[in-house]
Amino acid sequence: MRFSSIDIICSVVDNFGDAGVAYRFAREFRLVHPACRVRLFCDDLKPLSAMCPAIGANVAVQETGGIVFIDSMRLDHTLALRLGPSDVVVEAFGCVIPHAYSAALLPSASAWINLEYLSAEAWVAGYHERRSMLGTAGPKKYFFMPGFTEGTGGVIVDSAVERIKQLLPARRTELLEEFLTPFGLSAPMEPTILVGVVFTYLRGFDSLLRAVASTCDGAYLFVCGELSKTGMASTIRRMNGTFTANDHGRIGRTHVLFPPFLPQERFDALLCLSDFNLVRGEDSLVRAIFAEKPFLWNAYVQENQYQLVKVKAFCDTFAAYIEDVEECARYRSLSLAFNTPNGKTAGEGTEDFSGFLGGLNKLGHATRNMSYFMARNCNLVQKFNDFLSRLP
Amino acid sequence: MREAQDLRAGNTLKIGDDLFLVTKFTYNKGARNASMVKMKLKNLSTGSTTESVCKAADKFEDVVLERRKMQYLYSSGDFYTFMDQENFEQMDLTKDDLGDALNYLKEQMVIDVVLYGARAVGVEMPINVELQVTYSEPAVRGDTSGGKVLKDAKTETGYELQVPLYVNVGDVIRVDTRNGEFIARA
Repeated sequence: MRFSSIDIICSVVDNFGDAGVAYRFAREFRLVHPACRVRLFCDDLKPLSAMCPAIGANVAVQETGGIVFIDSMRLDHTLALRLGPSDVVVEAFGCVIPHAYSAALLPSASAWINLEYLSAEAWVAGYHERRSMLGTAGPKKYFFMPGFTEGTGGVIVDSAVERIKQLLPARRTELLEEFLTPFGLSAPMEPTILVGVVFTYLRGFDSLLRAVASTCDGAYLFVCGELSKTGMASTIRRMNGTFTANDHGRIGRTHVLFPPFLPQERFDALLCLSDFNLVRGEDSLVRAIFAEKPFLWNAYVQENQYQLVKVKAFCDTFAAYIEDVEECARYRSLSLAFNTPNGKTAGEGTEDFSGFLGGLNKLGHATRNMSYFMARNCNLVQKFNDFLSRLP
Repeated sequence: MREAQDLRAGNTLKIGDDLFLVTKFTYNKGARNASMVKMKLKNLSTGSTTESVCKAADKFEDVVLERRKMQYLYSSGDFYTFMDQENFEQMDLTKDDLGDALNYLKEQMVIDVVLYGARAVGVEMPINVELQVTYSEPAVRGDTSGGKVLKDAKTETGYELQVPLYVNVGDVIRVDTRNGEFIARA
C-alpha cells in the first residue's frame, strides 16, 4: 500500500515503557520516511516530556523533531476533524483508541496495526502479521509482533544509539565524565573499577553490592528509576553504608549514584558507557542488548509469576549467543532468581552475582553477537515498512 | 457479546454478515497481563477457513447453533463418522471440521455435534476429557533440582502435551480441551 501519514496511539499504563517505545518508533519511522506525516497520540504527555524535554507536557497539539504530538485526553470530535485522518493507524500495545479518534478518523484509515509488546516466546511468530477479523467495516486490522527472531517483527534499532556507539571507545572517558561530574567524581582510569547501571523493579541489592565489592577494586553504580532508588537506599542503610549526599551513597569502594531522571538519549548513552547493566521492562532490555554490554533483565512482574515464562524464553534465545555452556547455565539460573519476587517488600537480594560479574567478558561477547544479529536481521522499522509495502 | 478469551473450538461467531465456526483456539498471555487469542475460523456459508488473531478482551457476537449428542464411530479416509444418539442417523465430518477436537477424540465418545441447518459443521468438546498416557519420559531423580517440573507425554489419541514428573505410562489424565493443558491424574 502507499501511505503518506501515520498515527501512533498509545496510553501510559504505569511507567514510561509504553510511551517510550511509541516515541522511539515514531522517531525511527520519521527518519526512514522524512516526507511522511508522523503523529503520536498519547493520553499523558508528562512521560514523553521527561524523556524528551522539548515536548511540552501541557500542550494539546505540538510539533517537535518532525513529529506531531497530540494529547489524546484533549481530543474531541472537533479537534479530530481538524486534524484529519491518516493512512496508517498504529495501536500501540493494544491500547484503547480514544472514542473521538475511533468515530471520526479510524474509519478513513487504510490499515490499522496493533503493535504488541516484545516477547521471546515461540508463539509470537504465529501471531505476527496476522489479520484480525475485527474492523471488517473499516480498515483491516493486523497484529505486528516484536520479537528476537527473523520470523517476528524484530526490535527497534535506534539510530541515536548507533551514533553513540560509534563515538566509543575513543570518547568513553569524556562522555562518562558528563555523568560523574555532578557527583564530584572523575571517570575511573583503572579497568578494574567497574561502572554499572541499576534500573530494576523494587528489590534489595545486598548480594549485588557484596559481589561487586569482592570482584573489583571499586565501582560506580548509577541507580535509575524510583523503585531501584528506593531498594538501593534501603540496602545501603541495611549494610551500614554512608550517604555523602542525598544522591550519593557509599559502601566501601563502591559509589552508589542516584542521578535525576535521564532523558531517553542520555539513558541510552549511559548503558553504552557502562561495564554492565541491570535493566527492567522490554524497551530497556533492547537498549541493553544494543549497548553491547553484559546485562541482566528484570521482567515486569505478572500474575502467577508469569514473568518467569518470559524470562526463560529470553534466556533460551540469548543462549544461542553464549558460547560457554557453563556460563549459559549460570546466566539462566541468575536470571530466574533475579525475577522471582521475594514478597512485596524489597527484601535483601540474595542472588549470586559473582558468576555474572566474573563472566563479564564472555557475556559481553555474547551481547555483541546478539546486537549484531538483531541490527541486521530484526530491525523493527524496516520490517514494518516491508509489511506495509506488502499490504494491498 | 462474548469476549474472545471465553470462546473455544465449536463456538460460532457472527462477524459482519457471516457466521464462523471456531475450529481451533489458542490463548497466549502477553506482557503487562494483556493476552491474545488466535483462532481458525470456518465460514459456514462458503466453507472457507481463515486464521484470525485478536486481543483476548475483544468482543464478538456469538451465535448458538443447534447441537446434537452424537457418538463418534470411526474414521475412514478424510471422514469421521458420528451417530445421532436419538435417531441413529449418521453424519460425517472432516479433519478441518474437527480442528482441535481431534486431539481428544476417542471412538465411542459421545459429544456435541454442531449443526448448521441440517448439516454437521463441527463439534464442541466437553471442557475436560480423560485420556490414557501411552508415552512419557521417565522421571529421573534430581530433575526438580534443575527447575524441571514438567516432561513430554503422548496420549492414546496421539496428542502430545506436558505433564508433571509423577505421571507415568498407563495413567489416565484429565486434559482441559480449551487450552490443551494437563489438569490432573484421573
